[in-house]
Amino acid sequence: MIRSGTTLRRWYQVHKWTSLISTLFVLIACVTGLPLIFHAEIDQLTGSAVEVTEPESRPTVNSMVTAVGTLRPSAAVQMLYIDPSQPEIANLLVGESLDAPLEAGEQLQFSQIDGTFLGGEQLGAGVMGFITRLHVELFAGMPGTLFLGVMSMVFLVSLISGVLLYAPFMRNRSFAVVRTDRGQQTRWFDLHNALGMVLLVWVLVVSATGVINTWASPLIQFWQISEMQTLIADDPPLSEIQRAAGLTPIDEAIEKARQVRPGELFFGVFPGTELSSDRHYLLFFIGNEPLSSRLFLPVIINAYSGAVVAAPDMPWYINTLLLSQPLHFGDYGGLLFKIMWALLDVGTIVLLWSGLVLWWRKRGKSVDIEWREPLASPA
Amino acid sequence: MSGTLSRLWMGPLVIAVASLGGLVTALVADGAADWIGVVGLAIPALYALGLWLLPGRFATTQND
Repeated sequence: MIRSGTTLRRWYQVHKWTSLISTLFVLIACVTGLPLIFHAEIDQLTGSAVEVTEPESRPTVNSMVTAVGTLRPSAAVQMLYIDPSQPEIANLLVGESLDAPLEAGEQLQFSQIDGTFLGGEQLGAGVMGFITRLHVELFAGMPGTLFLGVMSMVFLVSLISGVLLYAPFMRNRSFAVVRTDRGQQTRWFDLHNALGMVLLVWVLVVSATGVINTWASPLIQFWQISEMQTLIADDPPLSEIQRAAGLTPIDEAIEKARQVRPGELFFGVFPGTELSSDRHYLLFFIGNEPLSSRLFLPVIINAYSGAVVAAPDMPWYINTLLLSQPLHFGDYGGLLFKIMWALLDVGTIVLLWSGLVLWWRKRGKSVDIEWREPLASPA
Repeated sequence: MSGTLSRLWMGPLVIAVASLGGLVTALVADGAADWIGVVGLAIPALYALGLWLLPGRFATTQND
């Protein structure tokens, strides 16, 4: 516990400045994060999610790829994605070309029951797309994402310094007491302290996992250029004859992969895209257990011969990233869990706002006078 | 731990353990145990909500 006045003032300065620097961005993240908690439910209400029932006999993915050729003649299919909560729908991501940026693609949905085309939507379009881009990248792409990661780290320092300041100011008082008979400043001060300690663990977890999430693209790119390249290095480049024979249908590739990876297909990347190589399907399966359903189990398939090239385990840094995602999104414990997540998010907004109010009312005044008072004369 | 420290940190510790327990249990357990996660998260959430909605409830100036 901090006892020296000099140390206390230093930590107060750390808390003040790290909070001031990061608060605006954390506030944006909290406000935009609120609707994102209920993304799936909002999509259901607004009709963005399509209802299809009885997923039994499934048409081939290849027939959907063929249909894309008719629907979007100039587009290339880059990725197949199956949402585990909607296995009856196959989502095909298409772009202007195979190597076009995936985030600029259009998502086309097909029924896995009868192969019907259900609709298409540009990625990042609509109100939820707007909110997501603001939350994830501040409309500034990867630099915006990394900047938010830095701001989250600054906010983590603010939280830790806040904990260090908590003890000296709340000594000799009951936990979470809010003194309403000492004026508004004291009331905001106590509310800020109480909320900070109540929300501490949740805010720490969500902030820290948010930082990890901002590294998602660089980490995946690192895996591609390091481990994945090593894995496919022994698979020789294709001859002209092999290329002329054309791609193995992705359904066959999925069947081959299932023989080495029991589980559900989560997404598959077509050869020639920025996530794969020029000659491999990259298929990612997920397990059926609560934890394994969050981890990717990749299989690399030669897209021309159909042979399984490798079925590696993902490295620790990718697994850390994947396990941090549910802890950031709060999407792993049902609707009631999401409601709790939203309440804690609202609490964090109040925490940030109370900090701003405290700073605004005290600006220009001596820190010594304002902050030593609770130490000198505890209520 | 001194008495002061104990008083200072007991509340935060209980809430921290509840929060962390809720977060981790719901993540590693199957759907049937989600309620543990909900309860864990509900404790700090209700506390925070109570502080915000009912500030008068905590109005007593204390000097213990």
